[in-house]
Amino acid sequence: MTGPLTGSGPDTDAARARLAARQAGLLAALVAGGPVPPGFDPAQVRAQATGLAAKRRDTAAKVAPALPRLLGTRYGPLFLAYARSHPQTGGYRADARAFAAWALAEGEGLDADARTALARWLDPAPERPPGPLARLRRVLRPGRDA
Amino acid sequence: MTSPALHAEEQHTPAPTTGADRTTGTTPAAGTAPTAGPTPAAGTARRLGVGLGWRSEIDTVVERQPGLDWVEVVAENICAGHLPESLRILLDRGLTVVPHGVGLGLGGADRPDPARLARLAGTAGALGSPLVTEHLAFVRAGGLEAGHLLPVPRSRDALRVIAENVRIAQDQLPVPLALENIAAQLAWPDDELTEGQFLAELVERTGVRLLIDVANLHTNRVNLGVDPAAELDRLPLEALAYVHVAGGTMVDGVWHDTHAHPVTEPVLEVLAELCARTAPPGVLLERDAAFPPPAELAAELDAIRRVLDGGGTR
Repeated sequence: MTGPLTGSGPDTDAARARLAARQAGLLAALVAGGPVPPGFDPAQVRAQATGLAAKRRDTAAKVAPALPRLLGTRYGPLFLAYARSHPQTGGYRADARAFAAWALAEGEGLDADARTALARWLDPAPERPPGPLARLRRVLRPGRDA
Repeated sequence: MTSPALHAEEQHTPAPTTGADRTTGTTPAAGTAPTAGPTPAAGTARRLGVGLGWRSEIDTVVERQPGLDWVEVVAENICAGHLPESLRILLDRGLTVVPHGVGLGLGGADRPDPARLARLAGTAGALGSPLVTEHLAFVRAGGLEAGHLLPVPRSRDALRVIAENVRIAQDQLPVPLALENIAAQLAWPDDELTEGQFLAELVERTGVRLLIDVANLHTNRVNLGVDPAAELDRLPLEALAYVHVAGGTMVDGVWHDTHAHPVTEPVLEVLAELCARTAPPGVLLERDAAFPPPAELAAELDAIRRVLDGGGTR
């Protein structure tokens, strides 16, 4: 080992703040389109960012297998487009629901059947299926992902 | 990897321990004792033997694997209050089950979350586990989730923080903690220590034990040019709790540690390098996806046993 063993003092708050800033900067570059922090190899950061997005796409598909089933080949590209503008802040189930809501509202190239299926997955029909306006209201209503 | 946030709100109820005796047993499992190489380091590590990662998709395959000594479960996938039936069967059979956490983020800037620690402690209690394991990694920062294990900046400044995190975790856990080296795809400009040196410092400062993933050492060799043998030389292997082995694949010159491909020769060669230095108390095969037929998993476990027996990587 190089250098003396300087035991952790009781107060690591300043070091924690420095570490928090460094890690937040890198993570923003990896998942939220932030700039590559100085000193990093941009190619390495890009490769890691691609890997994280793909893993997130695959994990969301695993916890919500209905989504790739309903969307078919559109699932992958749509999810990556969603992920670029929506960094993950919670769990994968919430992520899958947020993606479905986003795809319904903003996803390009979805046919009517896929949209109906997505809406139904987001909000399984009670006795009588709600009309399109009610569906839209439900989808846009926040706080339904918990 | 599963998201810890999926489970954070779940109640953890430490169930009655069904295997208190398993926490004290030290008798080596028959048939898997390494016959070559140095003696087990320090003799303090509990002997685990050869194990396989338990996953719900292959629960019955794991149950039927011949000669399996122990299993590891992804801690965040388990709820202490209702263990999967398959794990109950394995516990009743006397197999050791070790919870392997992926969501604590002990390498993060925040002090470890008490709720996550309590959940991990409850899982270890419910499983009667002799230890729990986590990673030298951060998984969240600035309100964002990485969904993956990311390397920490290996500076002395960060070392103070992470050593304190480890001590906080150790205080809250009922059994010893071991930390795993990770597969990295990028290097920090802040790095003053290698991963091996950083882990050695953590062992020295906290008494934490080590989980060495030889596939991750191979990954870092391919992607970052880190020499596995040199890293093994820097690690205090007397602190070794067990070893991970996993498969991966090369795409465009980049090694992907997928846990979804067969275990390759170079990974087993790193295992042999490790076995030349110490007799690992346990080795565990991780397979997370693209599950092969049971016979293929059995063959990979046999290949691991041959390396442990000093018979080379073939």
